[in-house]
Amino acid sequence: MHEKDLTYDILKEIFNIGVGKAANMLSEIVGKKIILDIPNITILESKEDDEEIYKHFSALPQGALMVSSMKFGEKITGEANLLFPANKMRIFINLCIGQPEYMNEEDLNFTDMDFDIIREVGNIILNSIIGEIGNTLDISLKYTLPEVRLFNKSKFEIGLKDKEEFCILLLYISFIIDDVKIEGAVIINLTIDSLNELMKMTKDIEDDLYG
Amino acid sequence: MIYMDRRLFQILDHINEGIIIIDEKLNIIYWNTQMEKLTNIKQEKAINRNLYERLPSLDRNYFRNAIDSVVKKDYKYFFSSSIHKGLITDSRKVNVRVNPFKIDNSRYVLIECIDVTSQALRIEQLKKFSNELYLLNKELKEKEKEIEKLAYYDQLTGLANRTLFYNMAEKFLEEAKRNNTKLGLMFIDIDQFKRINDKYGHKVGDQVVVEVANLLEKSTRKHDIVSRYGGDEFLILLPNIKHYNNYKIIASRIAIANRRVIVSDDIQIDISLSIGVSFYPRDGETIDDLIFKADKAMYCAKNRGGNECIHYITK
Repeated sequence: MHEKDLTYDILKEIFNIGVGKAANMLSEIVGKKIILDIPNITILESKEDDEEIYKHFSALPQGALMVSSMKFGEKITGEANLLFPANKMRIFINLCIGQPEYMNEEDLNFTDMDFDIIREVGNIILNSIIGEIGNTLDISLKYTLPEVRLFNKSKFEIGLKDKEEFCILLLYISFIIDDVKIEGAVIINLTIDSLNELMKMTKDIEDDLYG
Repeated sequence: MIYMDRRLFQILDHINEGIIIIDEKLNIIYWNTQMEKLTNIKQEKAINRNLYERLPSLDRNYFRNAIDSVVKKDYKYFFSSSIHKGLITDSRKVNVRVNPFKIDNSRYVLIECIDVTSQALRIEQLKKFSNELYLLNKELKEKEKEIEKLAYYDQLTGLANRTLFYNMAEKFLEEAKRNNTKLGLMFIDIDQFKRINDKYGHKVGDQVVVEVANLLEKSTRKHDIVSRYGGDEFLILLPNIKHYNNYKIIASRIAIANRRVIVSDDIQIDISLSIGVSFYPRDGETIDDLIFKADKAMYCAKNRGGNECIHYITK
């Protein structure tokens, strides 16, 4: 196996442990079986050419996105964004509160109550992911509660590309609730130092495994 | 015990949200007046008591885990009133925020309880209203479809009516003129229909009309248009006929189709049809021309005893 693949696999494992805990908590809260899985991760750096970055972004859900953003800080700082396709959120929200839906399922008009539900779910998932980074690096972090917004995908991409120097940890995430599968992504903006630190710690785990 | 200026606590009493502060042993060290209003539990009955003992509704596995992560990992949590019913009180809808803070190396947890009952009520009302509009809109759309159906389709047979026939006929005729192709038109009349009506009544007459409509639909090609012209008369548009004689294929399909209508165990009616055919461009340039010529041919068939299909012949 390629050395880089192994590092990615370890990172993937770390994050899957995190989201597994989040899935347990969410299952308990909504009283339904919830499965969260991170099938793939990618690291993007601003030094990569635009085409490469574009390729990864084009794999993200299309159309309007519902984005929960949470900032974290202290030893490492950054922002984590959980993205889900907005047109799947109506059915998702209804499943969470056990309410049958009478309205058009692809309705994009969300109330404050709907945003609150996404805020809560986003908070649990992002806590678990960022928490695992903190655990791995053995550092404590400070978090904000997530802000939830609706974005047009292209605007969201532009917003990211405007930043001169960036390091992005891109996690693809699938969310299964009551046989409904929603594909989303987590975009974590890290400083280059934080990313290097994370990669170094992952490498240490790898060395421990293989001596 | 947390050292805090009593005046700060007094300020928290004026905040429009419920505030609880607990220490890391989960003992309540502060409970503001808004909390008293939300829970009907007085400050003095809450302070120095265990959080779960005072508010058993919070004693849920996930909430305990959340508090644990807040104390140990500095996580923050948000619990929405829509998902968590009765987390603080059964009578109000309350959003709960849980934040950690530290003073002099001691950890505390701030629990904010935000009453969103009136907002939730307004949203529910708006949702109800929007749902009513959605249902009304759906109903109107269905009605619109029904009206369209009434305007273009024959109620008894479900076939195209005269209006739809003329719309389609004009379209096919234009197409035939543009592409130099042939358009056939069949005029069909049920033989002895008046006798059937007189003998068995109109209800049976209607049944016969429906059976004939089905038979014609089954015998024609996918893009042919079968319409009820009125009473026991039907018109069929045959677009893109390659040779004038090709109508015979459809005529023979009609001829061999099952034409026995079973009304009841005792009554079975064998029906026969008189059919006249005309063509663009040979027999006419307009739809009315074609109908006139096909009608003539149909009468010709009828005069020869019915149960026949003949095409219009120029004298």
